[in-house]
Amino acid sequence: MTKKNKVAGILSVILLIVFIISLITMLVTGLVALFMFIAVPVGGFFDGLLDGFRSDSDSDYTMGEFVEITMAFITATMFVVVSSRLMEVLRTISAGTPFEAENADRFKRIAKVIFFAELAKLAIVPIAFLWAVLFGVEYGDGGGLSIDLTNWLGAAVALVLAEVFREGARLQEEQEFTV
Amino acid sequence: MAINVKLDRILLERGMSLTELSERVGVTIANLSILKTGKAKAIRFSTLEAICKELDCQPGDILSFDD
Repeated sequence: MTKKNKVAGILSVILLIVFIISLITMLVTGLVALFMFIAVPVGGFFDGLLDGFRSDSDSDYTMGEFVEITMAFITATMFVVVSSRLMEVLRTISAGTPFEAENADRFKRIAKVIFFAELAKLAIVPIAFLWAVLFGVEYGDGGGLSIDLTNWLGAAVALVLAEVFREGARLQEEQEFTV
Repeated sequence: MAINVKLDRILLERGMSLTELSERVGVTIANLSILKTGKAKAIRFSTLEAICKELDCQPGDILSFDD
């Protein structure tokens, strides 16, 4: 096994672990978010609709906590998509064909997923807060607005890598058709 | 593409097959085929030199430019 393949193999194992943990987290947080959506007093006509599904203890949850869990769900979903795409990229590296147009597309998709996930996390806080104010629901302490610059930087890096792989694929094709 | 490859005509004139040329110049048949069908994006000077030497011709006999 070459050094390159060894590194790719180790990274694949790490990414597989990240993928499995993220997938479990995504499913758990998704279910909890769904449960909390039913449980949290959301105000307006929704309360009338959801009352049948609630028990007395459900009102312990606040809108802020629901926002926190939803943000965790979004982050876990982002990790699932990113780790699965990175595993596909590593597979092509192990196969010795990293410079293909599909890898450029994969990195572009990673950048898009990070971008939209961060955008959703930014948007959900003011929407939930406005909702709480409009319908007179308690927001609570959690679910504050926070900007994660690392993730935005990650999206930018993924975009740069997409362009590098696109150029690499072009050079690879040119090299293949050089006689 | 504006560059035309006339390798098949030269080969016909010399009565040489692509396989024979491939063996003589040390370029694979697949690569010569790419060149012959005009799919090549570039040609190395060393390849051109070897082809010209074996076919006893000038680069202009193999390549031409159409405006």
